[in-house]
Parts: sequence; C-alpha cells; structure tokens
Amino acid sequence: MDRASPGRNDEAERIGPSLGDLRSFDVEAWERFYRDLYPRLAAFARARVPAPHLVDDAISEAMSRAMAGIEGFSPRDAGIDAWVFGILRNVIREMTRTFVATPVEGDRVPRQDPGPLTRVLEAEEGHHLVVAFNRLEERERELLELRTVAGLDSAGVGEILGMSAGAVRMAQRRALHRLRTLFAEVQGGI
Amino acid sequence: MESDDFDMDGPLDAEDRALLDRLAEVLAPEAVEPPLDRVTQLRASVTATRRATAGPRRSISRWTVAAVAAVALLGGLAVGLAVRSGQGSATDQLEFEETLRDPQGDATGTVTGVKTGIGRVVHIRTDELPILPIGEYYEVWFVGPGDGPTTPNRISAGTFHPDADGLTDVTLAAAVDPALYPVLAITAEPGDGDPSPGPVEVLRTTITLE
Repeated sequence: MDRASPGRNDEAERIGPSLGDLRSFDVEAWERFYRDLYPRLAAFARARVPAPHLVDDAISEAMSRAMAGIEGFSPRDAGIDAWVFGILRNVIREMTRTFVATPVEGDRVPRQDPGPLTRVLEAEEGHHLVVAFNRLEERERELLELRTVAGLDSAGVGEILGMSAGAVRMAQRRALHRLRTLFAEVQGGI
Repeated sequence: MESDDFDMDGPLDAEDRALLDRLAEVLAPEAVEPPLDRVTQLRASVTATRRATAGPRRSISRWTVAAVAAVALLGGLAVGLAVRSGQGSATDQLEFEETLRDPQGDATGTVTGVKTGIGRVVHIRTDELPILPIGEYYEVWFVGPGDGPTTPNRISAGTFHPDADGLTDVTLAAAVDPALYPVLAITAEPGDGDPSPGPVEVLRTTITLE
C-alpha cells in the first residue's frame, strides 16, 4: 500500500465506525475515530501551532467543531479525514493569528517533533531530506505534509487548499522537483 | 482508484514517486495515543451532545449542538488551561482506574480518575444500572475508614441517572482526595431530600492510586 496516497478505500477500511454512528453520537465510535486520527493530527499540528503545548488544544477544538458539524457533513470524494484536517488547519490558522510569541531566528517549532527526527538523525540521508524539506515554501510544505503525514489523496488535499485534484498533482510535482534541488544542495553542504 | 500516480502530463515518474515515499517515511507520525484526559473530555462531550439531540428527530440548530459540544469539551480545556496558567506546575495525569463491582462481586463497570488543577475528573461507565423511577437517582460517594450507618465518613461526588438506553457514561468533578477516602461507592437514592446515603449500595470499588 502506498502510504502517501491511501485513497478512500483505505479510509473506509481503517475507520470502523460508520458515519451513522458518528451522527448518532455513539461514544465508542467517536473515541475510535479520535484515536485513529490522533497520530496524524498531532504530527500535522505539531508542525504548525505557534507553541508546542497548543497541539492538543488545537486537536480538541477541531474535534469539537467536527462534532458540531457532523450532521452537515456529506461524503464527497475527499472523505471525512480530509474534512477533519481542513477543520484543524483552520483552527491552527485562527490560533496563530491570536497567539503572541517571540520569534526566534532558526527556532522552528515544526521540527521539534522528537519522534521522527530521532529516527532520522540516525540516518544522515533522511536528516538531509528533512533539512531540505524545511527550506521549501510554507505552501509547498503544507501540500506535501497533507499528502504524506495526513495521508490524504489529491482530492482531499485539494479540498483543504481550495484546488482541484489535478492542480494538486501539478503543484506536488513542482514541489518535489524543488525538494530534489534543495536536497542536492544540502547533501553538497550548501 | 484515485489516480494519484498521474497528473495532466502523464504518470508520476519513478523518481518523484520514490522521493514522495521517502518523504512519507521520514515524516511518518509516531504511533502516539491521545492524552487520557482529552479522551475523557471527548467522551463527555459526545454524551452531552447526544443527550441534547435525543428525542424525536427534529431540526436541531447546528449552533445548539456546537454550544453543547463546546461547553462540554472546552470546559475540560478550561481545566487544562487553568492548570497551565499555574505556570506549568501541574499536568493532568491518570490517578486511578478501577473496576466497579456489584454486591455479588461481579464486574459491572469502570471508573477512572484524572488528577487536574481543580482536583480530579471522575469518569464512570456501566451498562448495568437499571433506570430508576422518576425523582430517584444514583449518588457517587468517596468513602473513608470507619464509615458506618451511625458513624458516616464519606463525601458525595455527585448524582446521576442512566440515559434512556440504560447507559451510564458520566463525568464528574471531585475535589475529594482518594488517598483519604479510598473507596468509591454508588448508592440508589430515594430523592427524599435527605443528604445521608440511601440504604441500597449498587456498586463499589477500592481505589488504588497510580
């Protein structure tokens, strides 16, 4: 299975509770849904919240809004995962607008995640790839993270970013080309 | 199948595919679990929202649902924020997790306690308590040593009744220290205005702190 592009079939297999269970506010269904999404939501949020302790606040607010909006959610090509990630993205943007922080040059919260980096630092090539990734423009990083960390397909990413699936694929191609260039620079010591 | 391997110019080339896959590996999220208090808050929010929308199917204002969910969920967030506003001196942590047993000793439910800045959040879940007549209810007690009919040593943590489906999924706030009152008991109360515990104890457990 290609993890970068799980597609809706994977989503249907992964999520045990049905939309009906969520709409009837089945407690177990919502808990399973939350636990299933949490690692990806946390990884995505950790890369974007203005301060590390806000990760769980952002996710909780996103889940609250998902609960409030579940009646109106209609299954489209993008799927429910993309819908929740879109909500989380909006929550984080609102949070970022109101949060006052002292920026520190080079101090990028997004890369404080110790889990993946701990593994990566053991492999220099992987570390170089992360460094190169951090040099991408924010929109390029967001698109690639929604494809890889969030595991959304092009339709899902497009729904969140306001692009067609085809436009997402084109933007992805350009972002990967740029990433490859940056990667070569990092490996060359630039 | 979603053709993410294709763009308008044709298939994603092997080099792009390999780079995307490698990026997915290095950015892969950890298999982390959400904090227990957040799970508890989510469950409370879902329960509160379900109760707010229970009854004949009718058009429920989306904002009503949002308000109920937000109050239930963000009420917990307020607890969490209050803890953090103490300059990080305390963090929510699981305090106890026990099985509730009926007088015959059969396991019939669970209770967890999460220590917070306001004391603890207690979550009780059971499918076994019968629905009581109108006006009667169940009461949660933290019971201390020496408690008896004529020498009471217990503190109430609140009251509840099962929902229309007979499900009990209750979250209560309690400032009682379980180290001093190490037994949790649930009684059936007649609703007569008498604050002393009713004669019928339905569930009990001894708390072992984590």
